Amino acid sequence: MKEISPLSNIEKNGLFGNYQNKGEDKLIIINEVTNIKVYQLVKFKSSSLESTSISIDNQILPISPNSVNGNKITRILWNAPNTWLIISSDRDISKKITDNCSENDFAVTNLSHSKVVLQIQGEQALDVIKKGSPLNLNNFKKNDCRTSVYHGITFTIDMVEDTQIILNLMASRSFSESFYHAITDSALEYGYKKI
Amino acid sequence: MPLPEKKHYKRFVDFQNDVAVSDIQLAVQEGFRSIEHVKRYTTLGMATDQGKTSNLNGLQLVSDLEKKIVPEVGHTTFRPPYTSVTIGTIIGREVGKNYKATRKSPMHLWHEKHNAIFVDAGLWLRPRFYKKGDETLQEAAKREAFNVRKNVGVCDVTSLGKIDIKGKDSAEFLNRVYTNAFLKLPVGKARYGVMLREDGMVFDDGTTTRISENNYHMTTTTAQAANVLSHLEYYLQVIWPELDVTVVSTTEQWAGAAIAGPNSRSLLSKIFPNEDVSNEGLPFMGYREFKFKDSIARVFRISFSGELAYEINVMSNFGELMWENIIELGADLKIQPYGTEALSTLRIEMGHVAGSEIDGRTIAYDLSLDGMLSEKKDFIGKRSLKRKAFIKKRREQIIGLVPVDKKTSIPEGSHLVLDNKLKSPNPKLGHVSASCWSVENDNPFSLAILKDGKNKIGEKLYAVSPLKNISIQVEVVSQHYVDPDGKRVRS
Repeated sequence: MKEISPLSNIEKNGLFGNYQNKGEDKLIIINEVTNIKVYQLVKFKSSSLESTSISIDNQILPISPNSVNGNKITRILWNAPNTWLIISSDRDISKKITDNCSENDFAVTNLSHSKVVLQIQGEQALDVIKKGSPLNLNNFKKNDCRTSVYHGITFTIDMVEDTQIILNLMASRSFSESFYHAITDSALEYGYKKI
Repeated sequence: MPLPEKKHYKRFVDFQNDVAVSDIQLAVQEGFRSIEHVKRYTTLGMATDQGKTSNLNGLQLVSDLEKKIVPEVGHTTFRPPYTSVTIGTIIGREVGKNYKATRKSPMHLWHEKHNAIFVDAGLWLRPRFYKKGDETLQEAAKREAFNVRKNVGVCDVTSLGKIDIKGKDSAEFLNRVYTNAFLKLPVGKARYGVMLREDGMVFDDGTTTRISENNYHMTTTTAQAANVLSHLEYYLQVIWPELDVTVVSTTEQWAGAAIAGPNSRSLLSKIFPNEDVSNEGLPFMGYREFKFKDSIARVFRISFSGELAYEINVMSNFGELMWENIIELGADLKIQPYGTEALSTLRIEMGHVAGSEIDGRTIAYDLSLDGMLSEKKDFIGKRSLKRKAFIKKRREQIIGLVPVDKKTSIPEGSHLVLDNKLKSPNPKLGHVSASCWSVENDNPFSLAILKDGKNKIGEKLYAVSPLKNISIQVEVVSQHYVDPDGKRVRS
């Protein structure tokens, strides 16, 4: 049975906005990221475990605020003290989490259907974010993450790559249409494509 | 900011708050010396740019007036944004209807395709009714509500707040938050709960289900979802940090459909043909987890309509499929979708309280919820209930109202008075909180908050609406206009 992702009825393939007279490689790319798992991990107050002793998919839990430990499959975002967001395309990530995180030490909550995740790539990807969010992105670098608002919608931004900029943007599912509209509307000035 | 000779134009320093040079001069003249006081007197730098475009000019002006250098004048407290922010971020963009962010359920597209007329519920868009032909709102709501009472209806309840509560102290936490007992709620059972604010006023209500030993699923009203989550977080972080409990919103994780009506069990058995959904297998306030396609479904036997009813939650990506499945399997049971207007009708004639009664001015006693106040344990707001005003006799209480002519609808917000001939100010005995057309009794019915209400049952009063310039004679009746013994939900 096919799942229906938040933007499956909204996104359309093509070139949009100010794309003419530009090479396609210069356009921003915006896509919904589907088939991913999202889990919130919270360490209980009574746990005596060192957070850094926990590794999931070979990534230890980051303890620096607003940082990410991740690879191409799994990214672990520091979300708040003793609170992490695990985003993974590994279908078995749930088992990997429960194998490593005892329910006596951690509360694990499946939020996979709670979120819409957009990936935005391109030189001007950060400019698109600046058009709707008060975040200071001047020193934003690879494996940094922040939670802020974009045109009134709470979202989390995760910088996957900073040489060729790739950002993952995550917002609540119910806002998906508004969020997608806000991001793509801001990208029109630069031209964007959806593959 | 020099002026040409003999010119006295107004010279603005803060373009957002319209603070002029003359305002700052006046502040200094009035004796405000601290730059923080000058700021508050003039509102210099208090706009959304937090003085990024005005403060330096303002400080220079004050330093000139006081004959000091700027560092001696000092500066006000810096607040975000510390770095430049685009104007678009502050004011938004010209994008028509998309200016306001909206929240939509996974079934929204289905509702659109089936003529739903939507209503704003906070930022959520919820189907208010499903229009057929030339129906008016009232006609559609009656049709939908009547079908729930007679057959079965399905309502999108995704927007109800859902909070996942985990941790070894969860039961103790809930026991302190709710006015009624939660320590011994068994796994697989749900319980209706009422929360108070610290001042004793009713804050919110909803059901909480024990999913496993240390895991609970709390539901809240749509309107109060974010406030309840903040309330819980506050108590966990500030008041009871010793409790090992985590809370997280799962409102978006689950798509919810309420199926309600005498045919709802038959429908449920068709959706889950291999499961025991009998009265014994899934009793009132029971909870079971079933397989739905390749995923799971959480099934709660709870009811807002007062009918035999179930709420089915599936993970949101399966929401539309669940909804279509319900509609398809319910066709021969005469299923119809119903919106918030019919939902209101159903709850009003059953006498269930909602936001128009839980309006921040009522205590549990006023809403006939005093039976939910445990005497054996402490809970948030308990001590406030001993205040003099809360224990005085003849407080306002919830009751039902029926117009004496059984025809004229009573406008919401009407004042209740003993004699409609008296000149203003006519002593007000209460107000009408919610009105509907009772589909069960085929006449108008209202809920009202009335002084000494329970003792006035059987009396006749007047509902007066100065805004609509009408006065209706009404009879005071029980708030439970339909199935007062609650037999249907347990059937």
